[in-house]
Amino acid sequence: MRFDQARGLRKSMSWLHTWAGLVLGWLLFAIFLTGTLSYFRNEITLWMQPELHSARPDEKGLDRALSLLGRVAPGAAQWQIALPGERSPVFGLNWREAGETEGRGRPSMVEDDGDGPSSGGLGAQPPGPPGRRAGRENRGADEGAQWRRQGPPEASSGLEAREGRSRGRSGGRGAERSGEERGRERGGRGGGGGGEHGGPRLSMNPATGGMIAPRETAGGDFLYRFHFELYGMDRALARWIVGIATLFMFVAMVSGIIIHRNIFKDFFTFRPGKGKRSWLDAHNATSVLALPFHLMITFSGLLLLANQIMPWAAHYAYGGSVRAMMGEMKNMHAESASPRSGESAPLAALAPLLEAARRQWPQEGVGAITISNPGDANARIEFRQARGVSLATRAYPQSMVFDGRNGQLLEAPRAAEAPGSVRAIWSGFNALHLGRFASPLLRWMFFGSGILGCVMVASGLVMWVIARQRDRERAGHTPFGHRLVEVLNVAGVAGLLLATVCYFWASRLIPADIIGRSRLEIACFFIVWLLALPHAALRTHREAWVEQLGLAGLLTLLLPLLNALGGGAWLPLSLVSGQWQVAGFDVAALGIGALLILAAWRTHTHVPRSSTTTQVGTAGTQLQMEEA
Amino acid sequence: MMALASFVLLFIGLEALCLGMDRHARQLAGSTLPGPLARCARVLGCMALLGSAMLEIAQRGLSIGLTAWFGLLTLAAMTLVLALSYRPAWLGARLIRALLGRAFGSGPSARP
Repeated sequence: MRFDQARGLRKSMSWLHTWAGLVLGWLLFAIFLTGTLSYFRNEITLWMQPELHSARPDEKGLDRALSLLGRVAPGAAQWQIALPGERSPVFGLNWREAGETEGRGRPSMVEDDGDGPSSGGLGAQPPGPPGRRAGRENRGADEGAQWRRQGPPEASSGLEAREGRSRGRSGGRGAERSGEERGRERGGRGGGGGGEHGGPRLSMNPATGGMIAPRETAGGDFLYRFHFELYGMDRALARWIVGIATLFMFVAMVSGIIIHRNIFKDFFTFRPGKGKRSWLDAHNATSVLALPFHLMITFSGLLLLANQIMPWAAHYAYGGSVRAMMGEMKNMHAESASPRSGESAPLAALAPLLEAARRQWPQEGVGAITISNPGDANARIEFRQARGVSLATRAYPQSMVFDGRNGQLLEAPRAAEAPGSVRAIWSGFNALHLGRFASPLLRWMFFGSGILGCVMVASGLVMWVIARQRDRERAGHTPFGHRLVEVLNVAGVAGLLLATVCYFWASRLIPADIIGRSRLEIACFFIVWLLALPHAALRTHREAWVEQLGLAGLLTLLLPLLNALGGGAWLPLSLVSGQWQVAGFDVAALGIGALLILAAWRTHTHVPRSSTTTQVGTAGTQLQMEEA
Repeated sequence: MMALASFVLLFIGLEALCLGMDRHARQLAGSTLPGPLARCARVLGCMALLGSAMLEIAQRGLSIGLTAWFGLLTLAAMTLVLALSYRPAWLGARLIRALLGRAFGSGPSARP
């Protein structure tokens, strides 16, 4: 396009769409893919830790959890019990020792933990001394030394407030962290529904009451953190990069809507086997049909990174304290814990109280129990919903508080106060992006829409090549730029798929007791991804697609087998015993693996229809069709 | 279970919308529908979509209900698009033709 000539809106927008999409397309694909997988972050981590697969639900689990806590933490100021549920088969047990100051306000009113570690957000850390958690975790201390960072922490701007919290969520990952941060992080992982009070986190098998020590893994948390902080670079810089990519995504989306000629007329249209036309149809279908999701996820992603990209408003209004802003946005109010009376008293029976709470929330269920001052006359028992009911309140779970001695209801679930419109919008988008409120069905729909988003980006990238096929024929040779895009497409799309599945393989093949496993897993991921690049450059375009897609498909298809041989719950067993978290991973792997192999096969057998069809045309369409 | 009901309702609604569009009516019914009938299909389709939205909202509350509805909409539309391209027979094309044939004696009239 020439800029010195007048042109129509659609033409300008078309130019913008093409180039905004291409320049950051590969990064966007990586963000979309890892972000989509993050919806199943807990499940991925669980799959990578086969030790936990042996856990079975049991009626008496809660009693066993209490007696285990009574044994290991008799004098604790607070016990937290994350109940097994939709997202975890084990009890997660945390506690806070008596001497520690309360690290945060009332747990139910602050950021996160409604449904376990996955719910982590880019939120503010509530006031409190984070450092106290250092080294309290079993592996925290020695690992912390390895991960010691060189420079000062990045916490100069408002970033810090956001950082602490989100870092608290992260899994074993991050090349540069101080021991203190590391300890805090491990403490944060304990938040499986119980809040982040630091302290050790134990996994308990409900059926036996025994503790399970799972292997160290970077888990789904690596993918989650990668999708907004990339890896191995300064966090602030990474968030800038991701933020700019998100902006480009938004620009590409809006311009794409403008240049789409007949959104409604072509709403249901897909014409397979027609080369460029099919690619355009597929690109349009995956974009338009999941448009609500795409707009929501991009816009909310921008909002989540807004403090990074545009910190000035918060700085001006809150005197530089992003933490204060976050506190107000989230409607946090700290509440002091009730003091110990010093008089000991047995704890009221939990089962009837749990029953009462379950009656109160028949749909949402109970996610976590917090017991303050256990064994004291001043004990309190708090039940928290497994997931919240409204987006406007950040899908924050409600809670019920009982007197720990006689089991009287002290605090009924509060009706959510109507938030102001700004906060409601912010909260709504926040909750939507993180999917904290999502029931399993909704979670799968988010996942499916995310896959459509991946296909949208990938098909757009492929279309850039296809649309220039004729120029190339006219020129009689392949310009360097075209070849570069081809190579980057293969390595960025098929290579990333391959790297991700190799990451899953690595997590199960690396011996369980090696120290620093998580770094090895991550190294495997990046080595494979890096190798995809020279491979794509050395092979022809079609060979590269076929080989990388085929290998990725084969390895994905074999994941359930790896799970079975590697000591996990194999598919028939997990299906029969209702371990949906593990079974879901295996079934998804079978489905996606089969589709990738089909895509590779179609690419391999594809005969170009005419000179305007590229070699990958139809087969790639197949890929997106099937993946969709 | 309720989600399945809304999905089915959504799917039927979207298919009715398809029948109201010339290109897809040809795929489904073999020819375009006469004007009033096409309009009728579109109205019915929209009503089914609204109905499923109301079902979801009644079930899950406004905010999460709408979220779930959009998700189901995407799922249903994607299924429909794939079926239209690869397995139109699964969409009850024969049933639609038979019904239209009953209604118009010798089959739906092709519009010029």
